[in-house]
Amino acid sequence: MAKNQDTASVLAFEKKLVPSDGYLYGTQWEERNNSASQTALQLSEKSVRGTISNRLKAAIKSDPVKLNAEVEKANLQTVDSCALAPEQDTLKLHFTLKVLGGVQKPSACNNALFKESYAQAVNSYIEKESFKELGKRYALNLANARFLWRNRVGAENIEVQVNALNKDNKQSWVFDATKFSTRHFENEDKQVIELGDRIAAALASEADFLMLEINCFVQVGKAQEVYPSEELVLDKGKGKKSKILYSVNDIAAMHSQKLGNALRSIDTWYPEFDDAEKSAGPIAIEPYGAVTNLGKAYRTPKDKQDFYTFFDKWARGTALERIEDEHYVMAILVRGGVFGESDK
Amino acid sequence: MNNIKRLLLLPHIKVHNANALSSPFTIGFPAMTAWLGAVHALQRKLNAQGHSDIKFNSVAVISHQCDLQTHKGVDDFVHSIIGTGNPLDKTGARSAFIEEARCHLDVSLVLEYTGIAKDDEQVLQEQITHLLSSNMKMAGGDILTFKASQFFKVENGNPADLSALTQKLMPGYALIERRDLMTEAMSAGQDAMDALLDNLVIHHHCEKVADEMNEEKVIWTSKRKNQGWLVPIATGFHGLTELGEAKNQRDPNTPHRFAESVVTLGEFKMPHSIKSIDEILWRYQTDQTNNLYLCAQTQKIILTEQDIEDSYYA
Repeated sequence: MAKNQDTASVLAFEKKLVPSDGYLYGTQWEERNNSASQTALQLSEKSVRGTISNRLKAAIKSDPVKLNAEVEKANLQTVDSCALAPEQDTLKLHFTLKVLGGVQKPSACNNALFKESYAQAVNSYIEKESFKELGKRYALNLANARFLWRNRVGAENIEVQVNALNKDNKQSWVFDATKFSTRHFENEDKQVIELGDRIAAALASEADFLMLEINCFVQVGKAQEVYPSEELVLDKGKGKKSKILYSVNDIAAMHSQKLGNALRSIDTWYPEFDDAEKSAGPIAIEPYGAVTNLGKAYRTPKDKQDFYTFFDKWARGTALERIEDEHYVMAILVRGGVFGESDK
Repeated sequence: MNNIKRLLLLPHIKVHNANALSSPFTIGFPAMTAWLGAVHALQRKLNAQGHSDIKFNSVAVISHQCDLQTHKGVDDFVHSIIGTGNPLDKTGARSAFIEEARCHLDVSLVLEYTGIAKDDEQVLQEQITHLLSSNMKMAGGDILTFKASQFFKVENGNPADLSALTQKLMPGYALIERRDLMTEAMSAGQDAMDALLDNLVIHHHCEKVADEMNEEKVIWTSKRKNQGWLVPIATGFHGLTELGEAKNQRDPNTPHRFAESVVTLGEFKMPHSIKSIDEILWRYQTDQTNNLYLCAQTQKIILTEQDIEDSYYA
């Protein structure tokens, strides 16, 4: 039996930011608003002769004959790649983003008492903050085109066009992404605030939604390589291909999860953020503040900075010390996940 | 007996990353329980919004596209599941991989309904659009886009009514039940697993024939036992224990029962070839004495190839 009366052993939240896959097209910068000139990018397979460049064992390194034999080996690789056509200098990334309301209700919760105290906490947050801060941060991550990931690096021009598609409330915004930093969220751009308010309104609603369409144009240079998502195939079988990229119906694509991760990279509230040496900039909202490419968790339970430490207090009615911690907890609920607690 | 069926078409729902574990041992198109469940959820949401008379009695599922997320390299014999990288754990280490098959879908649903007055149709269309966009999932996946719903009336035995609907479902494949093949094989003495596999494996067969020069030639043919696009599907659950309480059950107010999946054969069939809408409609069916909770088809006419051809050129 449950030790506490308000332990929810089954507790889950659906994600409230729902991106589609991102589709990659090629075009020319001047022609970016002419959809006729856009062509879907396809993956191409190439086989290359690589070099042996990894660190070698001491035994091989110190023996010139062995070393020679090793280095002369043909390191043949077959990989997927994706690039713009020779006459195209601009990558177009297209995706849609649905923002849903209803964070007041868990999608699964097996404890009525917990549900009640949780609903109270959420409602008081919405009353107090009405998701303004989170909405603005999500909007900024659209405006700064963080979702381009590696495609953003070294781009000459980046333009993000955002359209709200809701039938009775259409609206459009155009952002020059190079004007927005990806390192901080201090920006009071009027358009960003406007978009942020729309996102916030949808998040704060009980059952409303906002449908956004995002077209992003990146001038990367003629025939340059672009970067769709890589597929995670654990058991590649006998096939020799070592890199498999993602495509949908023959259009190179980025995973929805990857776009989602960029959009929720708004966590500047973790302890090491202000430490210039250790900071990783804004990190994705994760229960343990995990950053995959650094292999590090920035919010460990040991430091009592993780989601569960905050959530257990907050959802049961105890106020958190800082409003930033509340933003963080709410952002996790927007992200969604399974947060059930063992009743042992 | 009312001969007119009132149907609601939800066309081309695009579902992203739906659960493709169609049964405990197969991956592919999501299980029938997922679709009836989604429609039941829609009904309950509409009921809660004040349309307490609405009932969705049966459902047809038409697959326009199913993009299973697997990879098969050159020379590979099997497909492997394309996984998702999960977030790191609290130490920053990679969490364990759990293989979960996913698929992207484009499906149309046809719901047989009662309790919607003609005057309410437009209001309902809007409400359904809002519900599908704002707080519905299907087969565990996200609904990305869909087309506006449409109402149809189909009179039994009126081909014009039926084709007005089925035209909207093409190109696509309706999933129908082929339990009859299982029943047939099992009454002939095969056990369930053998009967299932026997219908799915490809039998290679060779024949020696003498040609005109009287030399022996070997001719290979490969085919399945039965014609049609047959697939294993899960259609419901078989209760294993008594109703009761289990630890950490999802809803404390509803009794719990452990269950196993019921797997049988299904067939993907073009909707233009059906003669009655009942051929593709599924409904809930419970069998209390045997503890079976099923999605089943009530009426079925299995057409032979010849029948289909006849009706096509008639």
